[in-house]
Amino acid sequence: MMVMPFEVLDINDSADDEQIKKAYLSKVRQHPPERDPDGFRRVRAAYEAVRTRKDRMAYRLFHHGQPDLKVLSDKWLTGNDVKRPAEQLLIDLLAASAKQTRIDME
Amino acid sequence: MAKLKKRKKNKNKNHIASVSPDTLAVQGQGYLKAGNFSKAIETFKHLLKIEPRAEWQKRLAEAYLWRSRILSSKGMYKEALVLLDNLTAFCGAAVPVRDLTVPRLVLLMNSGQYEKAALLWQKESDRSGKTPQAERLSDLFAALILGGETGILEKFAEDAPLVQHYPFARDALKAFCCGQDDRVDQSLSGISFRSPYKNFRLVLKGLRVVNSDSEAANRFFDKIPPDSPFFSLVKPLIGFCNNGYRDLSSLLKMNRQELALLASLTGVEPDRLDLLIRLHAAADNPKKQFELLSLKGRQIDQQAAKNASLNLLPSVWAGVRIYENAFGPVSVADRYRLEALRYEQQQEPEFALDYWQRLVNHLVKEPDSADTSLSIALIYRHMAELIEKMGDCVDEYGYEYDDPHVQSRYYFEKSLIYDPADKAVYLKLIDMCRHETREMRKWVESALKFFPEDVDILLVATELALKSLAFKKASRFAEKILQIDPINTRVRTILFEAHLAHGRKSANAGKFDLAVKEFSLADENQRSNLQKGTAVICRGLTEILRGSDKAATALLAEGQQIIGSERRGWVITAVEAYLLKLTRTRQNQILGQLKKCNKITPDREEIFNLVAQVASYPSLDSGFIVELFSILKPVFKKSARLGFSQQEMQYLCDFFHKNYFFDLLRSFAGEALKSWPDLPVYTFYTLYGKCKGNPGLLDSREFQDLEHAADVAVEQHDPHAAKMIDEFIGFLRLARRFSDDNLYDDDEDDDDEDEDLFDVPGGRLFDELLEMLGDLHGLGGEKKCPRPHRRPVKKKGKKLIEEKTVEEKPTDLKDKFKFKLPGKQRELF
Repeated sequence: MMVMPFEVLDINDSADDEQIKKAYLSKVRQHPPERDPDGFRRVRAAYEAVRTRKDRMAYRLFHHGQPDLKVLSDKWLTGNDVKRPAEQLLIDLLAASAKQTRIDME
Repeated sequence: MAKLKKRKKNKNKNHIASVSPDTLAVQGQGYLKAGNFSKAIETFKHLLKIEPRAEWQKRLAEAYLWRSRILSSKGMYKEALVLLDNLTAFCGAAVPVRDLTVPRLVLLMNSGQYEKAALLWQKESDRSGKTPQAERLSDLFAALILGGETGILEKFAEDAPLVQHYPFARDALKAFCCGQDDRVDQSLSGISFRSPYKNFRLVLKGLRVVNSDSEAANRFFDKIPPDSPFFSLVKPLIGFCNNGYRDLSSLLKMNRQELALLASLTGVEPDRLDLLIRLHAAADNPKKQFELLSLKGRQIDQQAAKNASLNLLPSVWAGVRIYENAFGPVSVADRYRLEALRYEQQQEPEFALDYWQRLVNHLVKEPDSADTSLSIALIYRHMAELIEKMGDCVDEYGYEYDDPHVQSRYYFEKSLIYDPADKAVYLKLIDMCRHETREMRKWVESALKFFPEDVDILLVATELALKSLAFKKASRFAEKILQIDPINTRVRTILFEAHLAHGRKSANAGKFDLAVKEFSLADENQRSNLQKGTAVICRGLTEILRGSDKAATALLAEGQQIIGSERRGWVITAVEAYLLKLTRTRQNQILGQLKKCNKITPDREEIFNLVAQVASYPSLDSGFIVELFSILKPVFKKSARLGFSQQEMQYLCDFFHKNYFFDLLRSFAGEALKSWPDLPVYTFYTLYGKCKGNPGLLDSREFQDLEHAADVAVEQHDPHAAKMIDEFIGFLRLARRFSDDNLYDDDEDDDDEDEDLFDVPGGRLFDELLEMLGDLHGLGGEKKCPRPHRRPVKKKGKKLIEEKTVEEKPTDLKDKFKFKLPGKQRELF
């Protein structure tokens, strides 16, 4: 599984050492190790992967593999615009649930 | 077929007609008991035609009801309903109508005849309302009505709760979807706790807090009965409430509408959620993931989808066109890079190396920049590591390619041209040149230019200086390390050894003052009593060399007191006396003192420490070790049962094995074998000690034991033991194989052959083997048969390796098939 450091740290892939450090510290505040050890581990791994110019270069050259879906879901599934569902959607879901329900004879 | 069935049916009818009613009734009862309800129905129907007995009617009704239940359980609701109708028609009097109301209602609802069900419900409401299924039925009616089946409402009386509470539920639904939470609360207050819509209340309350307080939402959802249609509605959301979007697998079973509901409640785009769930479902299928990201992902997040797709390309190389259509062309450099990674993934490092080299060649042509140089350096480093990982490159014919060690070193060196300040590469190169002092010095000096204050580099510089007997230099480096890292115990030890070695060197050269100074410096930096005591003893021995016996005696006594163990103190004194080249008489005096210590009973720790002490002098002459252990032998002989740990025992046995102390090895390994019978290394050591290092003295059973031990060592992933055993019995195995290939006459007795093999190692058989192998390789005889030797030839382009035939150099058979007997087989004890 790929580390996807730029996505984890939420930075542009042309960010320099300073920007990366800043993003890392900000992410650590969001995922402190005592409250979110998994999240912290991911942030730390991302930082280690791109900390220096050489690290970033090595990452770009040699890293490959399947994407880390946790990272993508953190990025893509951040709810900003919470909406109520359409009335018809709920009615349809209720109808589907009711019509699929079966009652035993006994 | 149809005819056959008809004939069978007629036969059955004829059979029923020919049997008396009483017999038939018994048979019908039997069918009922056995669960054969179709036959029971047929039998009792026939009996009722003969005589309408109430008992038979009851049996028939029973059979109909059971058969109806069976069909219902199979999902054949309409057929089950027909059976209930038949039941009413044939035996209405036998079963009260009210008993059939609920089964009929259930079957009507399950078969989708909601309005008929509603009518029946309304008609028989006084009867149906009291059964256990009534609540479930009303719950289902409520869900259906809210789900748009409003026609049902007309079938109910105006005062029915389903009709009365409907406007409140409907309004709450509408208000919820408009986000008017106050109105939702107001409407929900019109729904009582016994209302058919009570579960809908819980649904709405839960949905309102799914995103903000998922635990509270789950508490509402938990109150809904699991068989309720309202629970089916919220069931997919429970996975989200428990794990959020962290666990996508809990959302895998959601359909599009359910996903749309969740997406809307949590404020995410349904397409993104859908894509992620699909990506999750395709976790084991990179091709599918690549397609999803390239085709759908780019509409969602162009940059992230592009990066992820590019990183998948080495696994899905055929998708390069799809990628280019979606995100634009792949650059030449990326193409080489991805091809190289692809071959690495396919375990074809030769091709991977070729593509990395192509990338380097491409980058070299690009305008000179810091990034380009760094990229080239990193690629060379990667190539070197790739070769290291490959290990021995042996082709299918068993021939080795160029020495991988040399190749990887070459690439590491190249990488330093482009990035001369890479500490890891320097350390790697220094490690690779450990046995070539000049090369090692070259890399240490280069590394020191770039990293003069680096502890790791200074440490290897110290080690190199020690190795080159440049003790002053070593001390200087070690002191520098201690300035940076004052608690570095390893450096303290190195510094101690450097001073000690320098002191010995000075004493041997007659520079006693300098020697004493060095020994005092060795003493200065140490915290351990052992090292302090050793330094004092060395000073005492230097006084002996000076001829100052009085001072020497005092210092030796002081040193031994600091060490704290008389025997260990004398062992150190004896070793240092030998290294300081004291006269033979003096050495004998010291050994005599050591002998006196044999009266003291040793403990486990002392025995282990004595061996560790002697082993800590790497340059100690083996002859002296033999002499030393000839004095210590009585102490060691009775120590095998002192309860050593497995690691300690292994260490001791390794030492005895290395120094050919066969008797001690046999007794210690024998004891170890009792404690750890599953460890093959002790089987080997016991037998090795027993045959005194000569496999020819093993009998066939012992040989088999060793072979078994070798197999076990491989199974236990113990390469050290496996290698030792394999090397030890290697010759006899080879001899066996050749004997199987009719080296001897077929007529010879097999047992005799075995005896010959074991009795004469390196005798007739070995000579014959050498002769035969010599013939094969054109060494001894006239028949010369040079074999073509395949060497890998690097060539530009995809076809990397070509065969090139070269004359093989004659192999030195004595090296290749050398019988590895221990160097000096000395029987010590």
